[in-house]
Amino acid sequence: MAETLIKINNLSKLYPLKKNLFRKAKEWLPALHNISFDINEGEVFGLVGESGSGKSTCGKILVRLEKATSGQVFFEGTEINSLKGRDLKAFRKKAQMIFQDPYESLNPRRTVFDTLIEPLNVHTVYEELAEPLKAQHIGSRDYRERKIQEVLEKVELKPAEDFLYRYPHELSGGQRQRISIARALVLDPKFIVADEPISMLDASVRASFMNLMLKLKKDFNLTYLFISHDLASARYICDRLGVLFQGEIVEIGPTEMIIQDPKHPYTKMLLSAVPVADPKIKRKRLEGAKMAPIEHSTGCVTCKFYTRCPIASKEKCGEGKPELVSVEDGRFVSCHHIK
Amino acid sequence: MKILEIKNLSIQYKISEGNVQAVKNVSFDVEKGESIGLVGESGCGKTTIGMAIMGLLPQNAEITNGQIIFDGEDLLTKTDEEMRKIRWKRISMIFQAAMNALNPVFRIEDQIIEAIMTHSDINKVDARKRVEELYRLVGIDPIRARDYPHEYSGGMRQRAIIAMALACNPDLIIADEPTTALDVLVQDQIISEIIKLQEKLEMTMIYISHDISVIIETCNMLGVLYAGTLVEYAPTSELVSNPLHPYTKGLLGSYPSIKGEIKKLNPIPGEPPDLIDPPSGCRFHPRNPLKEKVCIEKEPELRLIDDRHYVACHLV
Repeated sequence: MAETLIKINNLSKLYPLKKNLFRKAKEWLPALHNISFDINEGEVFGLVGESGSGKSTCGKILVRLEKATSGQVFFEGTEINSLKGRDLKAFRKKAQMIFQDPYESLNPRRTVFDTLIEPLNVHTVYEELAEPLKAQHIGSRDYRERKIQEVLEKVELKPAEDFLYRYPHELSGGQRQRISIARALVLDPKFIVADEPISMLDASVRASFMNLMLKLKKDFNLTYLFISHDLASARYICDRLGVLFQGEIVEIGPTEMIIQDPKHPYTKMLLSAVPVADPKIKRKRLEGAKMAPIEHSTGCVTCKFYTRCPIASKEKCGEGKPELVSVEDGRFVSCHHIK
Repeated sequence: MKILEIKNLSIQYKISEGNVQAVKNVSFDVEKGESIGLVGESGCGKTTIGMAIMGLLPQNAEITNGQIIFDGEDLLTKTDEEMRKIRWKRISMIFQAAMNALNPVFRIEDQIIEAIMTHSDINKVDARKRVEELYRLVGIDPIRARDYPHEYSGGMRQRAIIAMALACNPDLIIADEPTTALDVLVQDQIISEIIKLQEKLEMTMIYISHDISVIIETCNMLGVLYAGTLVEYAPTSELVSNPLHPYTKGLLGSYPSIKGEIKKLNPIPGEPPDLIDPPSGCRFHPRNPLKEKVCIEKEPELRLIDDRHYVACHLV
């Protein structure tokens, strides 16, 4: 059994609406509502759901780009929401993030070398290093240059010298995303949040990027949180999946189990909507896939999926929120109809 | 009956760095009632082809060669005024779901009425009735026609855009990535809506997308574009079961599937070329591990292999 790297406990995040300088927010938008799950060491955990379901918010909280409103996140046993100063910095070295759009997330005025040396400059302070590392001159510029070359070769940008002094506009989309992952890797992190890393890439480049991510996972002993709206890609890369719907986890479990045998009606709906690249397979479209307007409210007493659910019944679902219950080993579903 | 024939179409864009050869020698034809899918990566020229048919290419684009024959007439020889009469009434377009396809300061109904009245002799009352009809057709409550675009969700906006494209009963509809910006569930609804309409109205459609699985579900003919060239063109089921061009094979092999077993993906090595200075010969040769001398030296021509199965490759 793999060890738990991250433990998330009743995590909620509210964003204020209609706030201004003179007025405190009265209304709150619950981006995440009481979610709990674990991420094991060495696994790829996928978060899937529609836009606005809270996937990215969750990712940002796990690397402390956002602070949770309530609940705890434990990273190797340390609660990260309350981290400050030096401890927070030490945590950031271990948990990195790559973003969706490689055209936006790299500074256009920095060369690849500048982009990659920045995290090393920020995080390795020579004086703080332990003695054996000092002996290896880890803080030295020489070391940093070597490290950058090594990482560039790991992300298959070879030969590294060709790429060091290029600017982002001289690189293709796929190459830029490789620089993004290299920027995370120079710090030897344990955990990487990949927020839709392939959605901006073209089909042929996409597949090679996913293969690269899997290879790097082995080479660097990484753990990923893979955020995606594309279920087919998530299936390819993830060991376990969590399905988010309006800020709540409706189903969680091993990827293949969820794909082959989805339990929650929302998961079923989501899976049935994925186009299949085979003209022989005629997809069955689920009826009742109505798009009720999304209403976010904190005081929601029914199941959030109630208005769109094809199997909802007033007695069961109209009253009371379903809890995430275990249905099989390692599998949890939150639905009144599943016992 | 052939409704559209594209013959040796070449288009280039003039930009400060040089001439981008966006489309090179593309030929295919469209039968009435058919839906043709054009698939390829970004920059492969699929939207450029769509815009060329509509006569809406930007100022810096230049058609260097070829013909676009629509219903027996070459569209490229038409004047702007003649094109305006054909556009929307005979050929219309479904744009990508973006705020910029609808004008945010006008009611959607008025925008569709404007399109109808510009292109046909019909009074406002009848045009309004037509809008109602169209709204029912695409599955929106006609009451919502008086709304502004911001009051619509992404999926509804896309439906309204489809309604607008159908407004004048065109002979040919070009759908340019109609579901790309939408969520999976909404995408699925729009696709099934398009398939339904296509069957009901027997419309002829060119469906442009980067997602081959969406195309496979909606179209009966499939054209694969690579770096501005049409590399393969065949009936969908034939192309999926028997892909001949190495790029088509690579493209099919780089999509993970939601059904069946998980296969290791075999992506195509490398990245698409820079079209300012495209590779010599076959534009795919730098990424093809099996290339031969002829691939570097000579441009392959689109050849007929089997019943309506065309491929442009020296090695087939």
